[in-house]
Amino acid sequence: MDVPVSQRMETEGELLSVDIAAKSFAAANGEPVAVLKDLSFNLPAGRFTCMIGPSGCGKTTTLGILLGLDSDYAGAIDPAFASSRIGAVFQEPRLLPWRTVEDNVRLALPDAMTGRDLSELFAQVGLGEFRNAFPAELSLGMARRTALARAFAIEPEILVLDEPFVSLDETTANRLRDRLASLLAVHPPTVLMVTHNIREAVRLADHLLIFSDRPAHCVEAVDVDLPPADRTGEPAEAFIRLLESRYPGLVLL
Amino acid sequence: MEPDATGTSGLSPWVARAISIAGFFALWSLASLAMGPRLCPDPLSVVIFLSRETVSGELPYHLTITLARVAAAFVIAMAIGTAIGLFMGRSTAGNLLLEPWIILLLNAPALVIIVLAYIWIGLVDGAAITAVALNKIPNVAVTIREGARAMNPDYFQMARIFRFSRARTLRHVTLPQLQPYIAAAARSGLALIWKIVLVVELLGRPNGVGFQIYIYFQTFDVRAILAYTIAFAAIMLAIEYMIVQPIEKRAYRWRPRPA
Repeated sequence: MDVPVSQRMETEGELLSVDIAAKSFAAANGEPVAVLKDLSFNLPAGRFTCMIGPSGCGKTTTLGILLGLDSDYAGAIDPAFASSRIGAVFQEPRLLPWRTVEDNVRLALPDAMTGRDLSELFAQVGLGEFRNAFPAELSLGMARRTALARAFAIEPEILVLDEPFVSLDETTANRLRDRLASLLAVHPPTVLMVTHNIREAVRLADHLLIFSDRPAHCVEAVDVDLPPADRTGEPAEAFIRLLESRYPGLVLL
Repeated sequence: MEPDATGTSGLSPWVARAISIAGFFALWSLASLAMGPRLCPDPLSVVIFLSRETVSGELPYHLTITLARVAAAFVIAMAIGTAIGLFMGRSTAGNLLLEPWIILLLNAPALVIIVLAYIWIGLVDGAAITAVALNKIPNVAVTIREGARAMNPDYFQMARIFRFSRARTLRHVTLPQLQPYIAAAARSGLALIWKIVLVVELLGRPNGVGFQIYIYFQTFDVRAILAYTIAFAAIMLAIEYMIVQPIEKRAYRWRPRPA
């Protein structure tokens, strides 16, 4: 079988460049610990890119820099990250517990979208009846769906997802992945997702960025050239096995 | 929050409160018997005096003035104290710069602040209210500082990513997190402020409950002193049960109720 691993980046369309020469944290004893070193990759605009790599390698740190939460690094990132409308979904849904589901979503709306009708969006994520609930009344899956709705409500140009399906049971996670796929079909932003789950990455992403151990750099950018029907099942498994043999220790099953 | 009165003893909160207040009057009656009507008049004679003063308009006049001073000093102290506390809790430099001032004010005797305010500003309401607010601001600031330090950075990161304006962040992210600390500062603040307002009135105002108590102290009229105290305490209780607690209940409605 022809296994479609290619090492070229897609050349058509715009690329958002990320070039982080060095990023370190101060350890407890005051010594700097290098987290990222010579990390460089491109995000193809309008496509779905997944970052995978060992846990603790600095993926979330990278997201923090791209989201503008951390400016203490050496390097340069595409100015589009600062100027674009960015939606984000984190492992922790980060909903304001003192505001209702609907208010949590509405508060994120830029001024130009204030007052827009969100019924369709809430129906899409299956929260139509919970618009007036407080986050404490939601399950983790529902809270994640609220976070997803919040990220989509602003019609983001860039969507950042930090392990949004972790610690959900597989049925719930799969339903949520389907919801994400259908939301993306309507309005495709540039997506960057962090995950440890290679099956999830192969199912959703157009590109994979394979990260090394700490200090992290991008070992390889891999295209996923599988048609939608082959994103699960045997063709996907064969592709995953190939990745695993190629990047032992970095791509884990 | 409502104490769990129904769960443990089967008492409704209002019955429990009534019993508590009845106990107070019983103790008072006993004290009156022991000490005699001159040193400690019985509750009934105080209530009679109270109604007479109410009808004459004397008591409502002084009570209203004192309440207005309490309200003004309270609003000023809470607003300034919260702003200072937030600044100190969020900024290390701000904390270092302002901490000596706060410690100084915390430890300055209320009397010194009051006297200096009257000397420097004059015997006017502005001086009275400033003096009371200055006595309360450091307590508010210290309480709010603790709250500001305990705030969750995750919510602020979310607000930053979704580009919340400053006003939106303050209203929907910062203040709700500070809410328990603001409530604590407000509750202890109201109690402290009304005590100091009476002293301020005694020292330099021609009206208000503090002034009246001073006058009746000159004539050794314990019945009048108790009447004014009771009237004011009753109003403070009403504020606690009818304003402060309902507001708190509403502010905490997002919290999961125990099953």
